[in-house]
Amino acid sequence: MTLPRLLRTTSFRFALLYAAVFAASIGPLGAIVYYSTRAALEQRARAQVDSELRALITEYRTRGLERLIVVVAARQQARRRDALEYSLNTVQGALLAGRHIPVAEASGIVAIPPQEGAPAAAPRRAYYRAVRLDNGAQLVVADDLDWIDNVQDAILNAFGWALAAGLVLAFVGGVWLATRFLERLDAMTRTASAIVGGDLSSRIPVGAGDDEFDRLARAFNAMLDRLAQLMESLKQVTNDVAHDLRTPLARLRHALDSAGRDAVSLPDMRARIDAAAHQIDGILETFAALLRIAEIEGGVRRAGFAPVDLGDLAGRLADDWRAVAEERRQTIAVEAAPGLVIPGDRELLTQLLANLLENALRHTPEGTRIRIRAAREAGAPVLAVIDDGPGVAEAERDKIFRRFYRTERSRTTPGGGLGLALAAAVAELHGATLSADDARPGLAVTLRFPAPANIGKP
Amino acid sequence: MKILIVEDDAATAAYLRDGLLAQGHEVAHADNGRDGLFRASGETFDVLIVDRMLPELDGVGLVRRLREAGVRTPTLFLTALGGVDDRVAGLEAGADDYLVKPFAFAELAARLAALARRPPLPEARTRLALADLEIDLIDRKVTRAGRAIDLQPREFELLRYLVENAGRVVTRAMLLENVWEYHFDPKTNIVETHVSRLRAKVDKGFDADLIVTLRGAGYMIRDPA
Repeated sequence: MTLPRLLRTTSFRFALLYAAVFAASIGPLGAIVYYSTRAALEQRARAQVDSELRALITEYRTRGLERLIVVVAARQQARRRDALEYSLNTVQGALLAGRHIPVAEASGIVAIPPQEGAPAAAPRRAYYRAVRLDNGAQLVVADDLDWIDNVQDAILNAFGWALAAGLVLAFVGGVWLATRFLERLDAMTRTASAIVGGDLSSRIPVGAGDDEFDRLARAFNAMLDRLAQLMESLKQVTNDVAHDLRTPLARLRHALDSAGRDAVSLPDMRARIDAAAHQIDGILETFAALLRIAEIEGGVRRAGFAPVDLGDLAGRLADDWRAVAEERRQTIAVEAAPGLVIPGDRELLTQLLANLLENALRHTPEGTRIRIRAAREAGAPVLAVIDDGPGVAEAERDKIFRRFYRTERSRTTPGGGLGLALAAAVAELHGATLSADDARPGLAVTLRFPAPANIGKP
Repeated sequence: MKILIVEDDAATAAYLRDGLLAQGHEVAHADNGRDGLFRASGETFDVLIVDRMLPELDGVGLVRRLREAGVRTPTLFLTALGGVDDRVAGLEAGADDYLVKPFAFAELAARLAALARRPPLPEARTRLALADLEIDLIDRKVTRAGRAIDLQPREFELLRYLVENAGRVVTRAMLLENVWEYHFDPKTNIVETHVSRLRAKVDKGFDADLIVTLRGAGYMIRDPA
């Protein structure tokens, strides 16, 4: 990746912004530390000067000027560098002890020249307090302020370095983050480009973790899977139309052909034309079913979902088909748990259940008992149509939901082979799974809806 | 009846016109949506047949504008699209019934008849009667010649729909849509089974049959007198 491109990235700009915020917050913090340290240290200097002065005055009062001169001289003598300075002068200004400190008022800041004999240096700033003793002599105690300045310098220095280091870290971190983010975004861009280029199987690599990028990649891949599935379904419809509509159309053409050539009388011709029209109805029905499956697979109807009571639905359908079943000496029983309400498309769920029911009625012999079961299994709503008929061979069970699939046994019974494919499409629309199992004996077709918490997530 | 056909496909329009003329109706034709809207709002028709896909102004737009203009002429929507949303869009626009192309002429004729004689405002009726058959819509009780007839809920709805359309043919598809509210075609003979059960309860043991089957068309209930 080139640097200019890096500089244009969002994450890098975020890093710079972060650095700016860092700098802006370090500044006032530095100022606060700087000034409050100064105030505290100066306060301390003042207190020290005051207490020393009090001690010396007490010394003078109790033991007299002579003693004070000795003490001041001793203290000045013994002073460490940067410690207190003393000056004791006569009323005329002659130095009695300590060293000369040029003071003008009772307290303030004074510049003290370097001590004689010390290496040449700039005068040091000091805080002083001066008092007149009752004999007119002037006592001055001063405390060096330069060390406060040194502390202040050190603080400024530290903040300066911290700022510099922070800015460098922000910059380096920004570059690192930007590079990392861009790599992952580039992977997505590459995938998108590959798909635009025609490789529909391309997917974004997903990391082991669960960060935002992994989640985005997973969502993106799920979307691509869905699109691929829709493409596949579209292709499937095209193929189905090609294969399974051409055959009956060809048959129809032959029928009309021979009617035109071989019809022996007008009534014969009419009968043949009626038969042809009947065949066309069958083809149109197949066509309509294919389009409906495609419409359902498109998923648009999910937008119109409303609460549907599965038990209620099962009861109604059983009532509607019971008369039909009785004609075949079959029975329909309903086992419905109350309050099984799911968000769904009532019309399509009705058709789904009708298809399952009709499937059970048509592919089982007389005397078969059919049960519709609406229950809750492990918290998830389940709708099943169970018969005790001959069942479906295990090898065929998964295939019965495919379009135009007819089991070996059912090829002779009427039907287009689309009823269960439509049921599968409706199930998919509701995020439910449709499975065919052995009911020992018989077939159980079960629709398992997602548990309420997952509803709406296909 | 005076019928306006709004259909751009000449062959379909001719098929409809010929069939309706043969049944003794007066037929007008418009071949695009704008002309259709113009004629439907300018003249009085008993029923409109409007194709979904039309040049200039499509069928949904036509019906919507017509309804907005206060024209309540019963309208049958025709479409080659058979999708669920498509049907809903047509009915929401204000169409009264909906037929997917291709259709049998008998189906169209039955629906037109039902539409044209639909009362302009549904009266709040509490009783229906036909010959010696009486239906109490409140208590959901049926009697024939004073004898109570016990009906299942769906049989009751079926009888009610038939009587509401007494003297007119109702097709299997009309029964599925209006009695069962099924907008798909079940593969089993659920309509036939229910009609024959209803007939066994309503007609069996009485002098005259009220419910008749019209082969290839549908069913009808009528006063035999």
